[in-house]
Amino acid sequence: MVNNTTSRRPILVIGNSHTTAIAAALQATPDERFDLVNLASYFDPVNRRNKVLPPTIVELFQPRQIFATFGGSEHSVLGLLEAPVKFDFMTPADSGLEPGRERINFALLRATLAQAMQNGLNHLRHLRKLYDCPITHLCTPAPFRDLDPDHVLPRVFQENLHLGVSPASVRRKLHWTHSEIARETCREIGVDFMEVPPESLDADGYLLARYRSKDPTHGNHRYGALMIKHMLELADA
Amino acid sequence: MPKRHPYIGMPDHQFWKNEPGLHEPKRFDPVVRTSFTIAKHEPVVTAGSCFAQHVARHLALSGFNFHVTEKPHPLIRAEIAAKFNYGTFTARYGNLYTSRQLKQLLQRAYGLFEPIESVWRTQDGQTVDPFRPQIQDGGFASEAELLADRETHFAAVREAVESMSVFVFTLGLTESWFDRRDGAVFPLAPGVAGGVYDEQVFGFENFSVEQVVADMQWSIDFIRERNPEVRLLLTVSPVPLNATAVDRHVFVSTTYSKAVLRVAAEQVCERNPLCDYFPSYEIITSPYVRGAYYAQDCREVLDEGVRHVMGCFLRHYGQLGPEPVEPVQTEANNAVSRHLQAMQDVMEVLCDEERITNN
Repeated sequence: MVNNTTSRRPILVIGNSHTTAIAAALQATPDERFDLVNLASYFDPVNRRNKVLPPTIVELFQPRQIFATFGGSEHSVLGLLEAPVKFDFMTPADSGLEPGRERINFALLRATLAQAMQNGLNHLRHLRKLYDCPITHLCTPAPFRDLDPDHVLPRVFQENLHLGVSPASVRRKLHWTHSEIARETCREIGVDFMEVPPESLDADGYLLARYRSKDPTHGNHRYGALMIKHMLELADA
Repeated sequence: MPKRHPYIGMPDHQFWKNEPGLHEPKRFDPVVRTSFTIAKHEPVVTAGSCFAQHVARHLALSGFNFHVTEKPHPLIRAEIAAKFNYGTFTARYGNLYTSRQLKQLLQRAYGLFEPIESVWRTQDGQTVDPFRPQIQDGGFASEAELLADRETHFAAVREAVESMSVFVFTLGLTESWFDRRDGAVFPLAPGVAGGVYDEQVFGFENFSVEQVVADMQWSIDFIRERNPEVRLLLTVSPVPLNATAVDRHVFVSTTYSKAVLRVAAEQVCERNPLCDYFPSYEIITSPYVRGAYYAQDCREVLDEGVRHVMGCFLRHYGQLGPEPVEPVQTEANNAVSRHLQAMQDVMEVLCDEERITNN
């Protein structure tokens, strides 16, 4: 909720839906060192549809460190559920391909994903211009390997499950590419990049079930707690 | 009654001062006859030097069936695909500057020739294809991806050869760099856009009329063995050489190369039925147009010139007929667009719900 006082809590977490895991963790274990702004709801508490980062934010929050997580679901839009023409691609780090899928050259896939990410990355660029303090971009959670049959999925996801979930390897490469694009942007604009907490991953780099939200693309409060732990380590460093 | 001299009664187009373009350059049209016409639905494949890109683009704009056999996945938007040369030519072969390149592309696509040079690296570590080093901005992700893409590309080349009705080839250069070990020719000298120049390995050749004719005849015979009905259009690029490896003025090398190519095109067309020479070179370079179609660099051809060329082309080769067939990809593209919008909607709902609960 917007108010007119200036907060000087040392850490500001700001972004879109991936702030929710952190919000849940802070709700379970409050920490007065943190302010948290979910862009959609903070400035539009009724409709929760705000998509703008207003410059007035610098009057509302004056932290010593910012952690940002804008966007972060673009790779899921592209490849969480199977497209009408199934695809796969190689990355510089992974030349494996699933059989029976149309191959896309990495450069095209990357350009497509980068275009989809521009809205979130522009928020990050804008934030960099608004604040002089250190800013760190938070890598979005790693993909899940398989759906947990005990999970109760959100209705909207259930409605589309008939499309089929893309193979884990494809989703992992999409997340890798997404992270690479974010890392490159961070380097260009002078923002640090915080990797996915290694303890949240299985041996192959997939998000462990205990850290998943009921929808498979977001982390839960335990994931949020991990993020807070790592953020505090960075902030104190 | 015998003619006073042999020129009596010859058509106006055989006389310089009778050309309407003398007074109205835009009316200059050196096409006198054609051996065939092209219906709008017939698949037309283009290849050749950089000028051929203009031909391809204008064919598509003019409603002809510019045949594209190498297409990106429908997930990729058109403007992104275009940046990576999908649709620049029928398949992603890049510029084929010489007749030898065309011959070797056909040989490679059909498994008849596997050059020793397979993968090049640029100075900044990118992985590129020696035979189309600038086809993909940023290079390929890995050698594995380059090799996989090459197979996709060759399949598209074979499809083009076997399904085209008309093949338009623009001859560009006679100068070429080749691998001394196996004769493979490259579109760019090693070291320019990848690879390492080693004069022990790579040599220079300036093709003669005989060599160009032999290469083109080989290619025509090869194509017609697989697609006997194909009609051919040869043209010579009016774009001068960017550089010459011969120690003489680049314009002198240009006139030599263009002369060789023009003579070779003439001989090839004389020998082959349903194979026409189309005078793009003449339209752009003739004194009738007074050099108006060259850009400031005296090299690039302005769009106005390309339009003049294509105007003549359409006038003589265009045929009224059934409308072009809709690309097969259209429904796939539409389905993917709908899917992506639906997924965007799903994610927005999910992200909204995220704010409500997160156990």
